Amino acid sequence: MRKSLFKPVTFKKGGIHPLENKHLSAHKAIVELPLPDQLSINLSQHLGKKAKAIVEKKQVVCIGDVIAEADGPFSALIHAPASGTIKRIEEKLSAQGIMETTIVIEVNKEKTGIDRSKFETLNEIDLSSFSREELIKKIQQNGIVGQGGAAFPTHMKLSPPLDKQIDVLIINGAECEPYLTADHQLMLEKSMEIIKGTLVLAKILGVEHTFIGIEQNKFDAIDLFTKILNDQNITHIQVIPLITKYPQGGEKQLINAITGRDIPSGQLPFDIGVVVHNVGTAFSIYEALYYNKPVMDRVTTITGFVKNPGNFRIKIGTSFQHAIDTGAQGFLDEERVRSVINGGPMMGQSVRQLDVTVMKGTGGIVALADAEITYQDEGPCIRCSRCIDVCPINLMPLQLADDTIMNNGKLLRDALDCIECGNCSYICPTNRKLVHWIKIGKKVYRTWKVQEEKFNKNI
Amino acid sequence: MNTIIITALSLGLLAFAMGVMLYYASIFFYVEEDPLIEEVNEILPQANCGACGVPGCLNFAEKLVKTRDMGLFCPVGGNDLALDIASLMGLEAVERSKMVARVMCQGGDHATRTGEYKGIKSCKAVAIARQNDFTCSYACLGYGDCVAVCDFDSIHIINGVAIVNEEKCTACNDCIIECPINIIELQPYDKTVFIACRSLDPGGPVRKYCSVGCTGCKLCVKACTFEAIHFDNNLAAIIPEKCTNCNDCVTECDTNTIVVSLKGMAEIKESIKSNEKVAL
Amino acid sequence: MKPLILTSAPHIKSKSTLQQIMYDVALALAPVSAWSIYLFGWKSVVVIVTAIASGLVFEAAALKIQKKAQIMKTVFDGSAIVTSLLLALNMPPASPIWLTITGSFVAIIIGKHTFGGLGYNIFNPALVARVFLLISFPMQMTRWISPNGFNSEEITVATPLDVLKVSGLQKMQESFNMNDLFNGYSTGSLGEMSELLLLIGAAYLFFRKVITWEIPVSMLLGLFLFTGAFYLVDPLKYASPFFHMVTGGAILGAFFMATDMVTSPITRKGMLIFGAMTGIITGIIRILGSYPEGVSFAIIMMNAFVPLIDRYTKVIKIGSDKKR
Repeated sequence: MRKSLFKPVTFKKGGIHPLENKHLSAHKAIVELPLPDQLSINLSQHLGKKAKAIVEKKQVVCIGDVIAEADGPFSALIHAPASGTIKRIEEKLSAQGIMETTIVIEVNKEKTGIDRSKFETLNEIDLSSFSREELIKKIQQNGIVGQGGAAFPTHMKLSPPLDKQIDVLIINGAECEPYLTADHQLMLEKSMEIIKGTLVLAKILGVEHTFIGIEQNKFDAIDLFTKILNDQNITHIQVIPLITKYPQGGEKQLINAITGRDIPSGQLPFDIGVVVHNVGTAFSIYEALYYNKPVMDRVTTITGFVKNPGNFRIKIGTSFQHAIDTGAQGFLDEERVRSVINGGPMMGQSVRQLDVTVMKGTGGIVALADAEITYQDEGPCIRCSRCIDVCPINLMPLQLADDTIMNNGKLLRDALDCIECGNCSYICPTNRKLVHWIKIGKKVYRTWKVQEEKFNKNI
Repeated sequence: MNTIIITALSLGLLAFAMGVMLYYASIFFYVEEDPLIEEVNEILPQANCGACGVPGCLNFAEKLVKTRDMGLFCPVGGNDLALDIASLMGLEAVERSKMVARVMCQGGDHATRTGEYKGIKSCKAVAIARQNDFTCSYACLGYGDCVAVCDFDSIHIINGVAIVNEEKCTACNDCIIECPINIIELQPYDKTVFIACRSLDPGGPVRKYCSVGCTGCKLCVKACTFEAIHFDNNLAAIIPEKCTNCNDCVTECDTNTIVVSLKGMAEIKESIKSNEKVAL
Repeated sequence: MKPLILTSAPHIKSKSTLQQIMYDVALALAPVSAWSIYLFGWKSVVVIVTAIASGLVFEAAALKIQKKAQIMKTVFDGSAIVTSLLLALNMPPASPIWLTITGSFVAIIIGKHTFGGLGYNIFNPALVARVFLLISFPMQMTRWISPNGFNSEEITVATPLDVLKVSGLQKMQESFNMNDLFNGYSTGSLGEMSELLLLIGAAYLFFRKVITWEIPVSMLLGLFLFTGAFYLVDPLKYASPFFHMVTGGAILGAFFMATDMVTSPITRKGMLIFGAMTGIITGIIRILGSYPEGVSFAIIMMNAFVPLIDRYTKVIKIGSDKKR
C-alpha cells in the first residue's frame, strides 16, 4: 500500500493526548440497526432555524418523504427515515437537553422494507453534466447537514458570499474524540464513495487543492485513500496525515495544521479561503447524488460500558435505549452505568433519560461507568497555568473563568473565541469546570454588551 | 516648652493656610448646579439599583430635574416617593400601581428529578449547559441566582424553590433579568391570585412529575365568572386586568397550582408550618 | 438503573491532581531532607517533624474556622505538607521547637489562610514565615552549627555568605571550598547543604512537568550576570558568580520557592521577567545590602509584582488582530 507522500502535520499550539479507548469499537464493521417501533425526530436537527413540520397527526408517510421544510435559507429539510403513520407532534426532550417540537412516527416495518428499494439503485451520474447551482440544490433538497457534530446546513457552507475566494477544500477525517470510530470505519468501508462525494464538493467550490486530513491512529485509512487516489490518478486531492492530538478535528486546528492559516477572531473559514467538510458529509452527498437518497440515517459509534461496542448505521429518531439494547446488546452492568453521552466524551452532552433520540449530528453514544467519571467538587485555582499550555486558541482559561465568577462582562470578549474543546477542564488539577465557566462567560459578555448599549443611550 | 509652642504654632499656621486655600478653591472651582437636583437626591432611597432605567440615584435626580418628566418612576420609593418628589418640584405626580416580582413555579421538593446534576451550583450554569435534572423542563432550578442578585432581601429559596417576599420587593427587575429560564414575572401587587406554573406539558406527564403543576384540566377556566383566565398549550394563566381576587379558581384547582400570594416572610413561614392549601 | 449523572463537557478527566503535584514536590525534596538528617541527626528530624505536624494542625484549624467542607481531604491535599517542609528546610539546624511552631503558624495561618487559603495567597507562605522569623528572632535564626551527625554537641559556625559579608573575600575563600559547598558540606539552613541533591530533586520535577525552565534559569542567570559584573570589575573584592550560585538559598529558591505556582506568574514571558528580577534583587542584597543573603526577600518582593507582570504579559490569542 502506498503511504502518503506528506509528513504528518499538526496545529501549532496546545492540545492533549487523552486515552483513546478506540479499541473497543475499532475495525468493527458497520451494522445496520434493526428498525425500532417508533421514531421521534425533532425539528432542530441542525444549526440555524428549526424546520417547520408539514405533516399532521394520522398522516401516512413513506420513507424519504419530506416531513419538515426548511425555515428560510439558514435551515434544512427533514425527511422521514421510515414508512409509517404520524403518531403525534409533541414537545419532547432532545438528546441535547432542550425541549423541542418532535414528530413521532409509528413505524410500519413491512412497508419500509418495500418502500426503501427506491433508494437502493445506483445511478451513475456524469458530474460534468450538472451545474454548480444544480448540485447545491440537490444537496439542499436531500437535507444534508454537517455530519461532524455541529450539523451546519451544508448548502449554506457551499454558498459563501461572492467576494470570498475559496482556494482550499479540506475533508475532515480526523475524528479526534476519544472512543469514537464511526468516521474511521466509514473511511475503510466506503472510501471510493467518500472520494466521489469529495469530487462533487470540489466541483461546487471550484478549488484547485483538496486535502483529506486523517489522524495517524487511522493509518490504514491513510494508506487506503492514498492508494485509491493514486490508482484513480486523482492528483488534485491529497491525503494529509495528521499527528494524533486532540482537538485535531476542530475546524480551526485542522485548517492551521494543513494550510498554516489562522482564522481571525470572529470570522469563518471562508474568510481565509477555506471550506471544511466531514467525511460523513461527503458520503451523504454521494448518497444523495448517486442513490437519490436523502439524509435518513447515519453511522454512530455505540461504545463504552456496553456489551457489544461497535459502529452502527442508525435511523434518525431512534431512541438511545433501542440503539443500546439492540445494537450494543445493553450495558455491561446496569447498576454501574452512571452516564450516557450524546457525542464524544470531550464535547458531547450527557443525557438525562434514554428515550432521547439520535440526531443528524450524533456521532457517538458513549456509556461511562463509575470508574471513568471522576466527578469531584471544584477546588481553588492554583495558577499552575496548564490550561493556558493546552488551549489550542491560546486563551487564558483560568482568567476567563475568574472574570466570569466575578461577573466582569467587560473583560470577557475573548471568551467568545473559545471553541469549547474541553482541554482546559480536562487538564485542571483542581477539577475546575473551566469550559462551563467560559460558556457562562459568553453569556455574561453578551448581557454586558446589551446593558452597555442600553445605558449609553439612556444617559 | 519651646518645642511645643513652635510645633503648635507652625501646625496651626499650616492648618489655617490650608483652610484659606480650600475656601478660595471652593469659590474658584464652584460648579453651577441646580440645587433642586440635590434636594431630590436627598429623598431618593440611594439603592442605586437601576430599576428606574437610569444608572444611579443621583443620575435619576439629574435626569428628572433636567427633563421635568414625571413619567420617570422610582419603584423602590413607590407612589409615596413620587408624591414627595412632585411636591418638591411643583408638578403632578403620576401614580403607578405597585408591581412585584412573582416566581411562576412551586416545584422544588414537590417535583421529581430524572438524572442527577453534578457541577457548578448555579441556575445559570445549569441552564447554559442544558443539564436541568428536574423532569419538568420549566421548573425553578433552585440554586438561587436570583437570591444572590437581589439587593432588597426579597427573594429566598424555600423548600427548593424561589419565592418572593412581596412586602419587600421593589420590582427592580434584577431577579427577572437574572433568571436563566425566565420564570419570574412582574405582576400587580394588589392582584393577589396567580398560577404558579409554566409547564406546557400535558396533564399525564405533569401529574407524574409534580404534585403542584398545572395539568391543563381547565377547572379554573370554568370557575371564573370574569373570564380572567387564559388557557393555551396545556397551561392556564390569569389576566391581571380582569381578575377581581374572588378566589373561586383557587378553590377549584385540585393541584394547588393557583395560589393566593403571600405578602411577607411571616405569612410565608406560617404557610409552611401549617402546610396549608398553598403548597409552600 | 440509578439516575444518570449529568455533567457539563468534558466528561473525562486527566489523572493529574493537586495531590500528585504536591507529593511530587515533597518527593523531590526528600533527598535533601534525608541528607540533612544524616548531617544533623535528631535536630534535623525534630525541625522537620515539628514543622509538618504543626503545619497540618494549623491547616485543619484554619479550615474548621472557615467552616470549609471535607476538612480531612483538604488538609492532606499536600499543600500544607509542602509548605511546612519548605519552611523546615529554611530553618537553622538547631532551631528550637517553639521557633519552628511559630514559623509554621505564620506560614499557614498568616501567609496562606488570611489571604483566603490555597490559591489566593500573594506571597510564598514558607518565605513569609522565614522572613518573619529572621526579623523577629535574628539570633536564633542565624545560629548555624556544623554537621555532627547524631551527637548532641553543637559547634556554632558561620555560613559562607556570612563570612563574605563580614570578613571579606579572602577569608571566605580560605574557609570554604566550592566543591564541598556544592556537594553537601556547606553551612546554613537545612535545605542549603547540598546543591547537588537539590538539583537531582529539581530534575525529577522537570521530568514530572511540575516546574518549567523559565523561572529557575532566568533567576540563576540574573544572579549570575549581576554578580558576574561585579566580579569582573574587581575579582579581589567580589566573589565569583559560580560561588553565588552554589551558596545560600540560590538553588533552593530558584527551583523550589520561586517556582511556587500560586505566587508566580502564569505566562511564560512573565516568568522570565519574574525570575530575572528575582536574581538581580538577590544579587543587590547580597552585594550591596546589609544582609548576607537575599533570596527570601527578593522572591517576596517579586511576588508582589506578579499581578502586574501577568497583566502586561498576557498571551495573544490565535486569531487576534494584535501583533505579538
